[in-house]
Amino acid sequence: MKNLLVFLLGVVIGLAIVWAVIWYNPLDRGAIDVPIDVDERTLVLEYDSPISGSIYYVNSGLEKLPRNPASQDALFFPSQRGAHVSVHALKNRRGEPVALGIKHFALAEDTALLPARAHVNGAWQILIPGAGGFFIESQENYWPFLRAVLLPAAFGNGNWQGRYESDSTIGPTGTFEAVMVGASGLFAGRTGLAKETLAVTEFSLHAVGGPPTAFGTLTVVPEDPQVEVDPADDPINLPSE
Amino acid sequence: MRLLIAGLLVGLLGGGAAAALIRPISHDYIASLSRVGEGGRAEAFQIVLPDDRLLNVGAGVPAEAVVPLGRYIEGARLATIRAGVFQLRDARDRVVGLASLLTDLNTARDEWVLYMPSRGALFLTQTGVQANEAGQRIGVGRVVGGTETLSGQRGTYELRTVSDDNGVRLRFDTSIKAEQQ
Repeated sequence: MKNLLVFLLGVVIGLAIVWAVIWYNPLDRGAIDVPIDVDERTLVLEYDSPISGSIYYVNSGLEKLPRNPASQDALFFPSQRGAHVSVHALKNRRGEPVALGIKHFALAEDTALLPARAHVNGAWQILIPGAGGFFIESQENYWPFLRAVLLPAAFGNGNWQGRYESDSTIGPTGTFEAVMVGASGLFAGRTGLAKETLAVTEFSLHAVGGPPTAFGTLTVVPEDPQVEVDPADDPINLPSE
Repeated sequence: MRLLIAGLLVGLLGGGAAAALIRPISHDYIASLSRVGEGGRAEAFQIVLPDDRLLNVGAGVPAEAVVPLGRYIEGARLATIRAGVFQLRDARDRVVGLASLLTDLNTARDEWVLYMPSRGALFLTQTGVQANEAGQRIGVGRVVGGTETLSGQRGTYELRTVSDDNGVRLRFDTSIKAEQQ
């Protein structure tokens, strides 16, 4: 019996060392600061947390996150495992809703603990009334968010408070940007670059509703210099009617 | 001491192997039903209504299920938008992912994302409506891009509405090929 306990103690110490290596992972590059310059062509669109501030949010339940509304059933087909869809009112820098956006994303199959990868592949669909629509292809790494916010909440009482802000985008370009693909209106035929930034001050694994305390920012730079958006006609930052 | 070291090694190797090898996600692979021809690949997708509808909000949709967008958003700027989220099926009726729809009623043009986790998304934008020989209206448009394995794919699509015993089917017939922008 004593021998078994000594052996198990060794196993526990070994597992604790592995966990410490994962937590203080030398392979973890941390959050990457995506180098997108903000200028007069840049669209900055902000949105509230899917859990507490979206129009709609559904997931497969894999990560034990709430849905919005809370009565929404989880996605249950095997092909939808790890998938999320959220519908957001996107706001300009003055906090006015100017666009509707739908984000699809799912855990990527290369997600693994040891290399500090919590990769998701995503697609945004954005429509700005009076201006047009575009899509965004993105890859993100949520490991910095998991390590700083989600896991401390999960290992505690389900709640987290603090200040977290970082770019989550890591691709698909080789320089870590997401790719914008124009669809209609002013954006038809145009491409560009984009990135997404997450900011969290409070996080709960339990509650849906209440004031949003997690925010995302989409920074989009249409690249075609031949088709500038005249700031005088900028549909994003026009004053409210 | 030997037992402690043996346990330590088991913990290190077992935990390390688990951390390196275990993948939390592996989507059941459903073979694509795309048909490859000279001009690219053709593939059909479907949405069965009302079963596959998860969300339908916004303006101008004559259905009881529609929730006014104003419930969520104050102000009139987004009053002309309709949004929908659906389950997505392939041509054999297998659920392969999710789809979403945004429409600005001022332009009456639909924009779709057909999203299949681990395979990728297709971005669709409607350019018009045509009538076939039977007088049926068909939405036509462009596939302007995609993600993951479908990244860089472009082409065209047609969207038909077909009624059968199960309800109403939206059937997308896509034709895509990899293109350099």
